Amino acid sequence: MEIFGAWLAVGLTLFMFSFLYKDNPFYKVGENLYVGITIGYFVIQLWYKTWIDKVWDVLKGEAHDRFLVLIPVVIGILLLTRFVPKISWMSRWAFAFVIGYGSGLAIPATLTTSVVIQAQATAKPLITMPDKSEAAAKATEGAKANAEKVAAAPAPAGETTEAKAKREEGVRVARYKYLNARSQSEYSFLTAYKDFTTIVIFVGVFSVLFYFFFSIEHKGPVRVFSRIGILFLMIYFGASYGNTVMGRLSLLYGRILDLKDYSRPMYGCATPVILVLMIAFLAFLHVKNKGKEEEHAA
Amino acid sequence: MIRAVAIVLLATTAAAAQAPADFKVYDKPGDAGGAIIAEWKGLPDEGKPMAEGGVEYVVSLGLSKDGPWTEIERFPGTLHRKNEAPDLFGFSKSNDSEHFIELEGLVPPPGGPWLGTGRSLPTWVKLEVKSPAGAAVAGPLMAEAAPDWWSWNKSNVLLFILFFGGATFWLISKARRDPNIFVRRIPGLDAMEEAIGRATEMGRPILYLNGLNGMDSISTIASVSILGQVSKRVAAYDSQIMVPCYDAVVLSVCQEVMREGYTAAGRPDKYREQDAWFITQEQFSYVASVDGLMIREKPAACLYMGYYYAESLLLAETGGSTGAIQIAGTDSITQLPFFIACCDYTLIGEELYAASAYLSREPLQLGSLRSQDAGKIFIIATLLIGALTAAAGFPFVKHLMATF
Repeated sequence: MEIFGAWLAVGLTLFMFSFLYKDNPFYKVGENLYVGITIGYFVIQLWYKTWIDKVWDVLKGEAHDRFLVLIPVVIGILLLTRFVPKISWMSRWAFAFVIGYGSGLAIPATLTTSVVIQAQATAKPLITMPDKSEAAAKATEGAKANAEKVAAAPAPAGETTEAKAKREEGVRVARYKYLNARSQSEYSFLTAYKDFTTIVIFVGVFSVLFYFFFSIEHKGPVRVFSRIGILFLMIYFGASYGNTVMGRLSLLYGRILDLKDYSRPMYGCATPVILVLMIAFLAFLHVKNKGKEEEHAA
Repeated sequence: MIRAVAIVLLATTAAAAQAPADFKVYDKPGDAGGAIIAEWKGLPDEGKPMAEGGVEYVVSLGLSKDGPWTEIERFPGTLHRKNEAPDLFGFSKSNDSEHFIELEGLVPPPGGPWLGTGRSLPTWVKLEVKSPAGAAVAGPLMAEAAPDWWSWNKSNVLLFILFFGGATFWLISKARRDPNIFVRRIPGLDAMEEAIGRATEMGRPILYLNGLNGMDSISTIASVSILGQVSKRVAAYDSQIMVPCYDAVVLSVCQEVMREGYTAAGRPDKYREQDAWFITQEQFSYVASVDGLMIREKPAACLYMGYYYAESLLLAETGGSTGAIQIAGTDSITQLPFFIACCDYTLIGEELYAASAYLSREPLQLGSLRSQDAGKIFIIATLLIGALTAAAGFPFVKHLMATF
């Protein structure tokens, strides 16, 4: 069974990878199998997870409000009226419901997450005013003393590599806590760095908003701001692209490692055997089709 | 909302220990039920360690005034301050020295909750204060959990919705009176006309995808709206469109929208229901099928509108390899870089929402486009005022924008 699984996994992986060459029968088999299996899976999922769990079991239960579940069932059945042209207009009620509740859910959520929270996080002082209070000075002194104490602590005899790394991390954290406390009680390099970050974010949000003005002509100062906005967007997109590509490569490594693993004799050398068979078949197909094309051209 | 706020009842059991003042127990406001709140004022030396005269609070629950009691939580005087929950108590300075505890998992009334309302039996709460000087008890006080119709801590979001909604209605009515509203050029949308024309000339179809979200997603709604405009043009040019769908509900909406588009173009006879079809609701099998379709049908134009996930690059790369003109529009910020890299034109974020208004020039959509701009002006003003007032030490804009 394990060998069968290995051959199936290798075969389907290589079938899908064969798309890199061109559309071919192997890819078509993989594609249709994939679509068919997922549809079958979803039908079963819908039957058990939706119909049985959320409708049938609820109706069979004893909850006072169990019959309320019939409301969404009726709305769902209205969707099926599309198959009967005479009453297909009834399906629009269901769509109206879906779009209505969808908008009702999405608008407050989008306004909250994309507008209000963003605006709240951005609306802060661009320049930090140091906290000159006695409490802040005391906190900085305390953090400094702690950082010095942690840094001065001698390394224990026979310290392992892990323990050393942990101790050094402790020193760095204590040092950062001190610098952070100092950045709040006096204007330090860290304060300047934080202010710089705040200003960059502020200018970024401000200019990107200008880019997305549609009913105002982009000329004069609006054009300048919108140009800065698109620069910010492109820098972000570049960074995001690189980051995601790295993630995708790790997925590819995973598949390649699996293929390598299944090359071993204990799996019947699945990868090389299937690969050779596929290449041979594709080469045969290529020659056959070329002959047909030449015949056709002649 | 049933709210039981009780008066302080102190029963001091040890003369030397001090019981906290203003001990109150009440139903948690603005929730779906199932929770009550106990709050009290802090004691003078509660922040100190126990050995130096600090205190420890012990909260217990019972179903009658005389017990039996179940200890819920025991914590030092430095924890559970009201300033940890601005959603319940706001941003008052006094919250720094007052305590609260949210009590959940209460016993529901017998017979099960009607309509799942989250009510509870009357629940008694007792607060014990332990310190080196002795112990004291506040309460017990009673409250019942009940659901509320109104969540006050979300009122600011409602206000914003009313403000933006009001502005939208006003600007729509203005656009109806004067539809000559300026809309800046969006190159991706200008290219759509070109793409449809190209497909007609080449005698090849146009592939239109709605993304992977359902009809409850704003980007899908925008995408379907654009599909209406695209199908109107496809019908006018007598071209062909293919709309493979990921979601069955989206499919049905697409068919309706396409039918209307063909009818609006005066070619209802040209509409074919099979031009939009359902593939599957699994991400990568959907992509495998659409990629195969692209290679076999070689569409002249591929339009990707809506919300996409990891499949964006697979789709756009395959579409690019067939030589199709590709226009994408999405508000999925993680996928935009891939569309920008692979497509000829990309509608970035809100341009997707503006697209339908841009293409149709309908007063209704133009008005709503204008209201989006008004919203942006409001946000810019808020940011400026917020930054200035925060710098001056008055963070009221920040508090006004707090969401819970």
